[in-house]
Amino acid sequence: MGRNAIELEAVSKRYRLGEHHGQGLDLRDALAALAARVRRGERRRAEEIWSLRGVDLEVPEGTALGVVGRNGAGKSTLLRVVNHITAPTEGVCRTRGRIGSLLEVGTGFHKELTGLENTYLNGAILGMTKAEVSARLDEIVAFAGLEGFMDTPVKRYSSGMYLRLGFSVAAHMEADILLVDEVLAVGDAEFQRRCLGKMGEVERSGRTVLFVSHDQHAIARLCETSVWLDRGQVRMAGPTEAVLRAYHASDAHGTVVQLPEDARTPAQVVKTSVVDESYQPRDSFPLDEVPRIAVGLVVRERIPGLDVAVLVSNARGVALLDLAMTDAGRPSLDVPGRYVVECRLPHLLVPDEYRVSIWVGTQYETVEMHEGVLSFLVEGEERDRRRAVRAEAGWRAARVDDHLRGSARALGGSSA
Amino acid sequence: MSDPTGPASAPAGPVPAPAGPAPASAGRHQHGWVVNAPAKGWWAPLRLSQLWTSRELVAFFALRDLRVRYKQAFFGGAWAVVQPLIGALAFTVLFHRVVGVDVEGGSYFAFALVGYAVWGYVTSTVQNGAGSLLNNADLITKVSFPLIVAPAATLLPPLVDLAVALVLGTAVALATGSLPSAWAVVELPLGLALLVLAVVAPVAYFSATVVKYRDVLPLVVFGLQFVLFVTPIAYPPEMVSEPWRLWLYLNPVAGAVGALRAALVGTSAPAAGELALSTAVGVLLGVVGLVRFRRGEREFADIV
Repeated sequence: MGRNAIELEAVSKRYRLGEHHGQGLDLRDALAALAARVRRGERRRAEEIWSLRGVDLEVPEGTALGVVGRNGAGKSTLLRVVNHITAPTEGVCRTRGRIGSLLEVGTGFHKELTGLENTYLNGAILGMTKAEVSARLDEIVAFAGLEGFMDTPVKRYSSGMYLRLGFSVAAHMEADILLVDEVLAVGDAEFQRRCLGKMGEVERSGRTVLFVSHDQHAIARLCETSVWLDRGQVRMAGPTEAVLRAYHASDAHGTVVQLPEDARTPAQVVKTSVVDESYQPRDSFPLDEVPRIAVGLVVRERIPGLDVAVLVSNARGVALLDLAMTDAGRPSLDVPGRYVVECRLPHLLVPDEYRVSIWVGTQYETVEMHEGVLSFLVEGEERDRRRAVRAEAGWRAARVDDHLRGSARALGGSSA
Repeated sequence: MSDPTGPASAPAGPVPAPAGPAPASAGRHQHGWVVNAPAKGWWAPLRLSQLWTSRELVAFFALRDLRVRYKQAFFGGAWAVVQPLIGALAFTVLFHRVVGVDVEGGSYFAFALVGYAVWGYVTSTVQNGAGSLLNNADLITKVSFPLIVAPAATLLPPLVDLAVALVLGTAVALATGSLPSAWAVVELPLGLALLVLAVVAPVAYFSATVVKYRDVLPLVVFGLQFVLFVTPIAYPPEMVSEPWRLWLYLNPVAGAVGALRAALVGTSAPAAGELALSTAVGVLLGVVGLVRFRRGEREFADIV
């Protein structure tokens, strides 16, 4: 068995609220706060967040490890600790070999400097020597597709060119460990394909990859093994397929969700589920079947114009649908009582993972909003299609050259 | 780095390590591991060798600042010549003509040029250096690189202005008939080294402090104006009577400017004891500043 490239022992990371990505502090504010505490005789009491809590992890050399988890689960903090950007509050993180990062490509570019100057500067920031950059300069420029633009200041670059150069410099560093976080969410489809290809190349060459993404198809494609982080802790580690399955099946969102009743609320959702045409809970649907969202609702007070909406977003977090019941011409739920509301989703979802949010409210106020409470999968092959939804359009095709001549009948479609 | 055991060994899954202190980890603190752990105690290793290993990055940072400055500057390089001349002229009018400060056996203008050069170096490095981490906040929070590089690189670009002003001062001294000292080969490098050493402490200390308390930056700028009065920049140290004169050299800049003037404009050199005092204080404060930096370093990315 190979050596480990990354080891974490009981790593915890605490952030004080207001510090994390804050705007720093003022000495004046700090002194004022100190004076206030002294006057009131208080002990220092900062609100804290444990972004990582006792994480133990070993990543053998040559492994591509996927990291999944909800927002705020500690994925980015994990990468920052492994990348030595920030130190753990407790515990030890050890890495072996040079670390390359595709976390924030193009960071450190200076707008006034040319593409070439920035390539050397960025290379040096990432830890490359000048000789290394020189040796790979042609590759870097070619991969970024920026031949002929290297003597232009990057302030004249488009955001796409900027990004491509940044990625290209980072990707051409000879790293033993490569850290990737959501970089694929940017850039056009063609460039994303090349990025994925490059990462596969890196992994096959026996280097270690740590890949954080919401795009679970990409994780499944690149990583044999994955960890699932949940509120700063490792909830599960193992083969990617099993981890992803368990991650999907986790409680906070699912196909059937019961919510505790609270008699003080004027109206509330008590149960919601994803069901198929025969009203059976289902978590995945073939392309030609349509999921229905069922919502059990208790209305305790008379709320004129009470409406229910179903919001659907895809795995990349793009909000696709916001379907309100009254938009479909249904009457609002003004009279108190128990309701079951059903929403048949339109036939336009492509194969992907979807999150469903339920909203209850009126034109004037939100009574309840359950963010991402349900999830389901639409199965099928969706290769090389650049679309978030599928829809039918009206098509017509006619040969215009015949019309132009005004003699379509006579020539019968043949032309010189 | 390829797997030495060969491609046959299938990559095993990530294994949550056994909880508690694993005895197997005893041998892992060999070279090859880079360790990321919380800082402990009041001392932090200075790790000055990091500056050497990342010298290319220091150079790139310094070059970036120089290039950007001259790409944006309307006067370009001419400014480096005009600025010290105007500054030294102001010193001459104010201190020489109005107050009546004089230097034995030489031109006050040349004397003021060297003083202005030294003080210009101190103010630009301390101001830029104190703000250096803040100015690179984007990089620090997103990219992993030796953070000491950012303040270290700010020590280099002002050397250009320093050199220009020192050359001007020497030229004026020669023109007015004072010859450079025979010891210039010793005094010049000594003065330059002492000058750079003198700014290490404030740059390291305040760059780390400003990350946390931004409003310290204007305080630093204000403090510099005060320090100017207790540094023999506009006046020669001889103006301070004997029992107090030694106190001037608690400020390492005093030793630096004394050595540089002795080398270039022919004023009398500081005594060996005075130079030693300046150097000792410079080293001591430098270590304090660097320890402060190294201790704070690990949380810069969290608070900047």
